[in-house]
Amino acid sequence: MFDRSRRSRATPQPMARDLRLVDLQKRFLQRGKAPVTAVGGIDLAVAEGELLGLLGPSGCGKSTTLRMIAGLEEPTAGDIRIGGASIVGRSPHLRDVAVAFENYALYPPLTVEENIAFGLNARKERDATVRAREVAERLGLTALLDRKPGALSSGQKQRVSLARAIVRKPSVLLLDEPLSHLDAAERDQTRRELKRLQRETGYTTVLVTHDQQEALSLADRVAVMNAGELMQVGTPDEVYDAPANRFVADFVGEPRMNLLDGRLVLDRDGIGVALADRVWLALSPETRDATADLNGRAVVIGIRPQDIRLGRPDESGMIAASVFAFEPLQEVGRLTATVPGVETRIVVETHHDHRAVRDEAIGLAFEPDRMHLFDAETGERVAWQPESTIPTDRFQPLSPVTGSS
Amino acid sequence: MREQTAIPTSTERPASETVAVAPATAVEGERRTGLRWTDIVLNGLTLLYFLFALFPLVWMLILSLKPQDDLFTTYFVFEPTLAAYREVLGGSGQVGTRFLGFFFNSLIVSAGAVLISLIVGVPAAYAFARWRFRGGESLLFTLLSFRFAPELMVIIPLLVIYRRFGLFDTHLGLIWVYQLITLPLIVWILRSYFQDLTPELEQSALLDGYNRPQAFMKVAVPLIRPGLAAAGLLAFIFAWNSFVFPFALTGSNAQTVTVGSLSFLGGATPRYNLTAAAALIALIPPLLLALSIQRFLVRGLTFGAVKG
Amino acid sequence: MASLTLHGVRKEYGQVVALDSLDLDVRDGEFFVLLGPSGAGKTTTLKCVAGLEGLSAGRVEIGGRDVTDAEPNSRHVAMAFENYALYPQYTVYDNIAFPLRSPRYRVSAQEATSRIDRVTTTLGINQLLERAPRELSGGQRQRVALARVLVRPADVLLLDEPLSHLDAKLRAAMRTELKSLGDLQHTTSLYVTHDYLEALALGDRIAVLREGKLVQVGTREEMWHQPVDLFVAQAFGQPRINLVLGEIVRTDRGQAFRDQDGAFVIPLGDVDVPAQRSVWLGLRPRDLVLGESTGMHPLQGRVYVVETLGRQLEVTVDVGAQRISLVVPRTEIEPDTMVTFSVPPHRLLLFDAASERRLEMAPAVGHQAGASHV
Repeated sequence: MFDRSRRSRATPQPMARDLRLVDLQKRFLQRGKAPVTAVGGIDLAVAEGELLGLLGPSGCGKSTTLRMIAGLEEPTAGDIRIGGASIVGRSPHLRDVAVAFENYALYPPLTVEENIAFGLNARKERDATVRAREVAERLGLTALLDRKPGALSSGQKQRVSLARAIVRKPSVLLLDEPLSHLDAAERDQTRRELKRLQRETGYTTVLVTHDQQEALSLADRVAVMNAGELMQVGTPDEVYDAPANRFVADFVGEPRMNLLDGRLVLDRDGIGVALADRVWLALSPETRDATADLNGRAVVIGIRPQDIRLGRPDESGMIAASVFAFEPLQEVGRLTATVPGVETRIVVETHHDHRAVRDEAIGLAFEPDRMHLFDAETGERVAWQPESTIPTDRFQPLSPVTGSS
Repeated sequence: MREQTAIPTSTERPASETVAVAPATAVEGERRTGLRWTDIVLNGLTLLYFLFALFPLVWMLILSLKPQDDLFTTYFVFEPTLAAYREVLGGSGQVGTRFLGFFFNSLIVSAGAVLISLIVGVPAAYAFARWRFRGGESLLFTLLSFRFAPELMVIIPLLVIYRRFGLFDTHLGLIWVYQLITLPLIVWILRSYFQDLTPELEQSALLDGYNRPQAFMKVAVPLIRPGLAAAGLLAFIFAWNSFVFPFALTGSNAQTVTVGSLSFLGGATPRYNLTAAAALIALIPPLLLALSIQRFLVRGLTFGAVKG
Repeated sequence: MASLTLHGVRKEYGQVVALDSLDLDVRDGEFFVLLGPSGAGKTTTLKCVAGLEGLSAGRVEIGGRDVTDAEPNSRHVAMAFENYALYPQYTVYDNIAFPLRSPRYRVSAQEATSRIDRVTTTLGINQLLERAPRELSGGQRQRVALARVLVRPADVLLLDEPLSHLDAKLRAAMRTELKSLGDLQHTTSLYVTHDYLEALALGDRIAVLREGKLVQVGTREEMWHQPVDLFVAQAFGQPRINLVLGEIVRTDRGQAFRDQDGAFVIPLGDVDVPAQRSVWLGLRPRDLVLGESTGMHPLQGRVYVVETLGRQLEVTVDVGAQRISLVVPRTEIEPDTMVTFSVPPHRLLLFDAASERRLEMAPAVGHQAGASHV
C-alpha cells in the first residue's frame, strides 16, 4: 500500500531530532490505595520531521506521556531519547523541547512580541527580537505584535503560543490539545495552517488530542492510547481502514463504526458470522480453514455507516430492518435502523437526498470487504478474507442456529 | 486519570478555628528515598510554631492542675491534682453551682442567638443573593458594619436602654444584643452560599409547579446545609466567646461563662487554678460542636446537580 | 398541546438589548429549533417564554392565551435546562417525581410510578432510579433532565441546548434519540442550540437568531439552499462554505463571476444580476469535485494542504489569491501540486457584498435547476 507517511512527511528541520520512548512508564502511588498506572510501558519512535498524533480519551495517559517528554513529570521507569541521547533526569529547560500548552499560558502583561521572545530573552540570546518577528510573520501575527493577550481571539492566542514554542528552534515540539478551545471556524483554519506549518518547518512534533479528526488530519502517524497502553500505531489510513482492535475501531472515525455482537458459525457451506441468529454473513473459504476451530466463538462485527447499502427488505441478500430515525443533515443523511434481535442500533450514512420515515421497513447490506471482525473477549482483530465475489443469495436469513457444526 | 484523593491532615489547631479538610497531592513514586534535610528543617520550624501557638493553652492546663501552693511558681514539675476541677464543677457548694449556672447561661444565650439569627438570616441571605433591589447593597453593608464597631463604644447607651426596658441581666436581652454578632455573620456567609447555587434549580422548581417559598424551602435551603453548619458554628463560637456585652449587660442572673470565670479572681487570693479549669471546661462545647460539624464542612454537595 | 407565539418580544438588560422585537410562530405540535451562536439570545428567549424573565415589550401567547404576565408555574410549560438542574439531594426517581408532587401537577403515588416507569423506559434509564445525580455520567444526567420534562403534561416543551455538554460521539447518539422521541411526541417544542447538525436533524422548522434578531425562519432545505444572507450560509456546514469576493462581469457568453485578481472566474450563464456588482460567491465544499466533470466549470489551483477525514479528504486549493476547500473521496493527492477541480454552477450562491444578502439567480436556459428550487 502506498506509504503516505513517508512521502508526504516534511523535510526535517536541521535542528529536529528523532524521539524515542523506550518502555516508558509512570505510576502514581497513593497512601492507602492501590497505585495508579498512568502510563504502562510504551515504546514509540518519532522520526525526524514527523508529526505523531497521540490520540485517546481523557485519562488514557497521553498528557502524562507528553509531560514526561517535556520534563514536567519524571518517569517511573523507561527512557526518553532525543537524537539517541537520553534526556531523563534533565530539567525541562535543558531538554531542547518546546511545549505549546492547551490553555496557551501566555503572559498577560507582555505584548505578543515579548511573549514570543520571552524564552530567548531569558537565555540572553542576542537576536531574540529578530527571530521573534520572523516567526510571527510566518504565523501571520505581524499585525498583532503590539497587542496584549487580553485583546486576542482564541485562534490568535493559539498562534502566539505556537510561535513562542517554535522560536526556540526546538529538537522536539510538543502540542497539547492545540485546537480544543477554538470555535468551529477558527479550528478549521488553524488546523490547516498548523498542518502546513509543520510541513514547511519540519519540526519533529508530538501532538496530543482526544479529537480523532484532529489526529487524522494533522498526523503523519497516529498512536492510539487507552488506559496507559498503546492500542495501535499507524498512519491515519491504517488506523482508519484496519483498526487492530475493537477500541481503535470504535474510537477512530466519525460517524462511529457500528459494532455488533455476533458469533462465528460453521456449517456445511462454510463459516459465517451470525448476527442475532438471524442473518448469516458469509466469510470466505480461506477463512474457513483459519477459523474452523472458532465455531461458536463470540465476535464483534464492525462496519462503518458509510459501508452499508440500503435496499428493500425483501431483496435477496438484505437484512430486514426498520427505521428508528432519519436525520436529513443536508451534507449527508443519517439513518438509524433497528434489526429485530439485535440490541444495538445500526447507523447508516446515506446520500444527502435520501429520505426515510420512522418505522419504514428497509433492507441493509454490509459491504463484505469493509467488514471487520474482533474477538469479543480480547477485542483483537480476527483476520479474515472476504470472498472475492460473494453471491448475494448467500446473505440469507438463517433458521435458528443449532450450534452443532 | 491520576486520582487526587483528599487526605485529611491532622494538624493541631486551637479549637476556636474551623477545622477544614486540606487537600493533599498524590505522592509520586520517587526515585530517591530517604529524608532530605529540607524536610527536617521545615518540620522543625512547624513544630516550633506549634509550641508557640499552643503555649498559652498548655500553660492554662498546667495552672489548672497545680496545687494551690505552686500556683505562683513557674515550675513545670509539680504534683498534679484535680482539686481545681472538683471545686469548679461542684462539690463545695458555691463555686460549683455558680459555675454551672454560668455554663448554662452561655449555652442558652449562644444557642438562642444563633437560632434567631438563622430564622431571620437564612431568608434574608436568600433575598440578598437572588434579587437586586434599591438600597440592597447599602443594607447589606450596614449589616456588616455592626461588626466593625468596637463593642465598648455602644455598651453605655445599651446599658441605659436595657435598664429602662427591663432587659438588663436577662437571657432575652443577651440573645437580642448577640444578634449584632451573629446575624451579620450568618447573612454574609449564607449569601455567598446561595449565590453559588445555580438559579436554574429553583427556576426548574417554579416551572414544575411550585411557588417561590416552596422552591426556597425544598430546593435552595437543603443545598446549603454545609453553609448552615459553617455559619452556625462560627456564629455560636463568637457568641460563646463574647465578653464585653455580657460583662456590661448582665448581673448575677444571666452571667455567661466568659465573665463568670473571672469571678474566681476576685477576693483575697486570686484562684488562678479555678479560673484556668473553668476556662478549659468552657472550651468544650465549641470544640465538640466543631468536631461534630466537621463532617458537614465538605464541599461538593451540589456536585451532580449541574454539569461540571 | 398548543401553539406558541411571540409578538414583538423585546428584552433589555439595562443598556443591552438581548432580544430585539422577536416575532415567532411555533405551530401546534411543531418541533421548532432556534439556532444561533452563544450570546445571540437563545436562552433569553426560552426564559421569556417560560416566565423566568419578564419582557421589556411585546407579548407571549400559548394556545392563544396571553401569558405575558403569568407566573412560570401557571404557564403550563416544561423546560430542560442546559446544565440539567438536577436536584442533587434527591435520587433520580425523586428528581423525576418532583413535578408530580407539586401543588399544581400533583398525582397519586401509583400514577407517578407508572408515568415515571414509562418515560424512563423510553429513555433507557429505568435502571438508574435509585442513584444520586452525582453518580451518573453526563449522558445519563441529560436523560434524567429530559425525563423530568416529559413526565407531566405541558403545552410547550422548552429545551435549552440539552446536548451541548456531551462529547461528540454521545451527542450524535443523543441527537438520534431526540429525533426518535420527537417523531413520537408531537408536543409543541422550542429547542435551542448552537449546533447546526441538531437544527437540521431535529427541526420541523428552523430559525436563525443573531444578536437578538431573527435572521431567517424556514425549513432545513430553505436554510441550506436558500440562505437569506451570508450569516445563515455560514451557519450551516462544516467545513464552512467557501466565500470569494469579486464582481459580476459581462462576457460574450453571458455573465460571469470574477474575483479581484482575475484568476478565479466562473461563468454564470444568464442571471439577472446587474454587472459590476460587488458580490460574494458561495461554494459549498461538498459540491465541488476533483477533476473535470460535465456540466461543471473547471478551475485550476495549487494544493495548499490535504487533510484526511477517514473516507474523505479535505483538500485546500489556492486559486490565485483565493483559498478554496473541497471535501472529496479519498484519493492520491499531494500538497504543492497543481490540481483541477470543478464547480457546479447551479449550486452557487451569490451575496451582495454590501448588504450580505443573497441574490436570486434565475435559472439559465439549458442548465439544471438543481435543488435550489425545492
